Amino acid sequence: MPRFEQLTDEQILEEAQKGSEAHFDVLVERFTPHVYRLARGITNSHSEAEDVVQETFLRIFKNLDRYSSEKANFKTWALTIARNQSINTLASIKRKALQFFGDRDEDDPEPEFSFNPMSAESQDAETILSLKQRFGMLNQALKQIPERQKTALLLKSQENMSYDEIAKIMGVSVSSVESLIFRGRKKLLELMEK
Amino acid sequence: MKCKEFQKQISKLIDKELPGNYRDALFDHLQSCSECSRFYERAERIEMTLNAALRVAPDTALAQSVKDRIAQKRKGIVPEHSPVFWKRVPVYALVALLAVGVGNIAGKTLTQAFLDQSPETTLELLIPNGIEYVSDIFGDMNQGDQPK
Ligand SMILES: [Zn+2]
Repeated sequence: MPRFEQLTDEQILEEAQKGSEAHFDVLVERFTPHVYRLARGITNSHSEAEDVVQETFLRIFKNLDRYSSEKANFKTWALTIARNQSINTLASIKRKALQFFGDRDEDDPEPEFSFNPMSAESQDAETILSLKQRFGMLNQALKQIPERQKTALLLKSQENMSYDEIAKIMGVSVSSVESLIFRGRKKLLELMEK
Repeated sequence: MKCKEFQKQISKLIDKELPGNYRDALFDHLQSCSECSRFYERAERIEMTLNAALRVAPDTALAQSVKDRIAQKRKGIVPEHSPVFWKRVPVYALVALLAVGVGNIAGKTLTQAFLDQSPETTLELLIPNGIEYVSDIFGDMNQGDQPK
């Protein structure tokens, strides 16, 4: 769909708000990876993340006429909804796991991050091995840090968002974001660099 | 200024959120403080690991599945439950059977056992998400505790 490529998210959204199915579909294509990544990071589960993506876009669709680009850009709005859905899902996973298995943790054998050899093209074999080990440690460490710290870190590192944008998504002040990221980093350091 | 404050600034520096006028003092401090230098080095290494990790990508079919569901919604024929609900039916059936068994042993009827909750709510609480088939439950039980 080359004609859509030149349009900004907001321009596409405007057409979607007028009822264009094709434009809404473009939003789904553009933002599914972002919504999925955040949901996957928060819930630690591939299947739950897929459910969150479905629910998030259904909500976006239902509330399309309420969205105003003056309040937030589309990505911020979409990720705010995705985060809320993910938190609800996370709470529900924990409640159900507790009911069913006692105090047992959820098991999800799939790694949250996998190794990307392209990112280490120029590295030697030893470095690649140590990077692989570090990804494994990172997965484990991320599971152990509180949701708010993890979300702030993921939005920064995966989505490259500013503290200001993260603050909007999380409904907190910019200084809280600073603090969440700082504490998240310190916790990751403790867990990974023992 | 305490090292903790400098380390907060280092965190902001990594995120490109530290205003320029703080940098000189921070770099001066880094030259003389091994603890903060080490923090900077380790924090940057973790950031590199986060960035180098392949950004997880969803299944390519996911966006199509979302679009299909919205299209159904436009036509007013979308089911209330997400598609995943239907994959869980085998487990619902199992739990219902177990519930009947437990109900009988305890000498209670199902209605008594689930008095204040609709059967659907009760079953929802009993079934962890992500478990879709009977083998998932027994597979999990047989494996015992998984390493964290
Ligand atoms: Zn220091």
